[in-house]
Amino acid sequence: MRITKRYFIIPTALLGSFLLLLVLAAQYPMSTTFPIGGDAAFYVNRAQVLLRSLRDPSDLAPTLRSSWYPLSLLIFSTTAMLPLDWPARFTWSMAAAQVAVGIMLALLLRRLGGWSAAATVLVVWAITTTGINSHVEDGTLAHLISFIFLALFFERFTAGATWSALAALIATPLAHPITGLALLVGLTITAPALFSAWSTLSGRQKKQLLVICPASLLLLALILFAGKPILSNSQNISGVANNPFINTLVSRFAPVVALAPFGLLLLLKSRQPAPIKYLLASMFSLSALMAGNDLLGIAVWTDRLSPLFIFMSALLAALALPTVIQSVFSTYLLRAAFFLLLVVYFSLSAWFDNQHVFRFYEDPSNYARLHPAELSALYWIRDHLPPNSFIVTSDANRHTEWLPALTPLQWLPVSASDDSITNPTSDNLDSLTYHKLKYLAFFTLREKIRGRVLDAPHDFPLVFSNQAVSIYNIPSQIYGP
Amino acid sequence: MAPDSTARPDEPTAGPAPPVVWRLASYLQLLTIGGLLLPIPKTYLALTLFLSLLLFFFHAVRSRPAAALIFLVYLLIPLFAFQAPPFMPISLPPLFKLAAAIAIWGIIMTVLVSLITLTATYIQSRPRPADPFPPDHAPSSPD
Repeated sequence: MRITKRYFIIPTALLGSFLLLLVLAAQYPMSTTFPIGGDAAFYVNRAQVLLRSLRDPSDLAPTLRSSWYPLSLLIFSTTAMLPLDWPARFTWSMAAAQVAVGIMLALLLRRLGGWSAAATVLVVWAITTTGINSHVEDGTLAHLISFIFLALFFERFTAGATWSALAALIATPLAHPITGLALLVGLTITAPALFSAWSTLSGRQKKQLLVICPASLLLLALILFAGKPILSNSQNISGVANNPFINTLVSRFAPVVALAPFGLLLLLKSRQPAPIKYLLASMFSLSALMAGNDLLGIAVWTDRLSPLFIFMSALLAALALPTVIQSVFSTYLLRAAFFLLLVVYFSLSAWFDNQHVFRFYEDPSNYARLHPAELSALYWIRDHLPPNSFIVTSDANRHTEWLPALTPLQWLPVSASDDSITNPTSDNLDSLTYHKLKYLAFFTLREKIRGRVLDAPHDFPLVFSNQAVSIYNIPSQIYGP
Repeated sequence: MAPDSTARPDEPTAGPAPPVVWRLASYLQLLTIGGLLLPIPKTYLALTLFLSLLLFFFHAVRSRPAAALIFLVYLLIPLFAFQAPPFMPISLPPLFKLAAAIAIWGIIMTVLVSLITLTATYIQSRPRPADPFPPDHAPSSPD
């Protein structure tokens, strides 16, 4: 039976779980024709800026320094080699990142709980793609990429490696500062308990801690110092969460959350190295505290902290489930049948839920992502307007963020209530922009065309119009003396 | 999960059959998982989950007290933490309030876990009293 398990059941479970992860991750690019999530345009635009800065190396460092997530941006920029357009590169990058996190979690769980835990975590992570984690819906690619390095750090830390763990530790905050902050705070909380158990640690673990703990403190201080403007920015603090923490606890992910505390207990009881046991315990505790901060009436970064709790819950639940199944069912056949039943239930439920979400975004009448008519207007701009001209829009609609990503024009967003929209650069004869061609675009599904523009068709000639976008020329002579 | 880190992860570790408490707790845990997928009142499920965790905890206390206590600290702190921690400065801006809550709960966790770890280390490293009856000098049987 042991041979059957080693050579048939476990490889089949691993392969099946991996295929499930692939299918559910690829469902996003296969079921949609354009990225969903407000941040997608930003990533595409920043990647294009980064690629342009490669022509002049002196521009590269400032471009990377000005980014919240330079490493994720670098990784996404490499997709420029793919023979796809930028929107497709983005959706496939999201799918690839989801799969990569699953693989890293499986490698970690193989070390912590064996191959059965590795197969379980692939399934658990696969069902979080949409609806549970908000990465796809928000388009937060960098945050998803940062989980690859977080899982890699845990895996290297468990293996007792020093330098590769240090590299993963540095990579995590560079991939996304919030994931990095959570890891560094977790290490800071864990360090005193580990140093108090110094005499019980092996030489390898001592060497690892002597490198990792001071490095994490140094990184934490650096982030707090360098990221002061970001951390004191209150735009993400609303007091009420868009997606309250309690929703996670009553979603289809609830069984995984219920298993997670038991996984934590099993981990602490196991003979795994003390450093990883304490670190995962404090990270689980910390992630619950941070993700649920809306219950404290704060609601800071809840959309970014909730996926961390889901990540930690998936990790610990995957440790617990094989043990629970093994304790309840006496034969391999029964265990395999029960596991299969759970997988079928979860995967079908995830598939149909995902499909429902993607259909909603694909339906133009919901106007939940860039409308097809807006996209065709953007392609018209790209193909017909001079590349070095300006295009001005109001900031009433985040869909306008696709302008610099899909067209070579310089985009200038101005406040929707700002009357200077018809002369945003306040041009006069001395302005550098005076002789540049300027255009004014109204995304009419969410905003009205200004009366001043409509009333003076000679001053603002209409150059393009469809059901979603109207584009007017702003001749420079109307600002003349 | 493999109880021994030195064992190959894919190698099933031989061990005694799970005790009754462990088995019962596993049944309850599976009932919770199954129940969460069905339209059953969540109050009963919360009770089942609580019972299963309680049973696992008591089992862990018997086999590894330090692990069980650390588990309790790490599990219960975030639950309590949804209330403002003690000595919480209330007038802070939201982000600093969260940082203060994490710092205060972090210090409490650190102190508690360090205390547990130190106690466990002390108990493990304490020299055992000499065996009054070493094998060579075992008292002869009355017969």
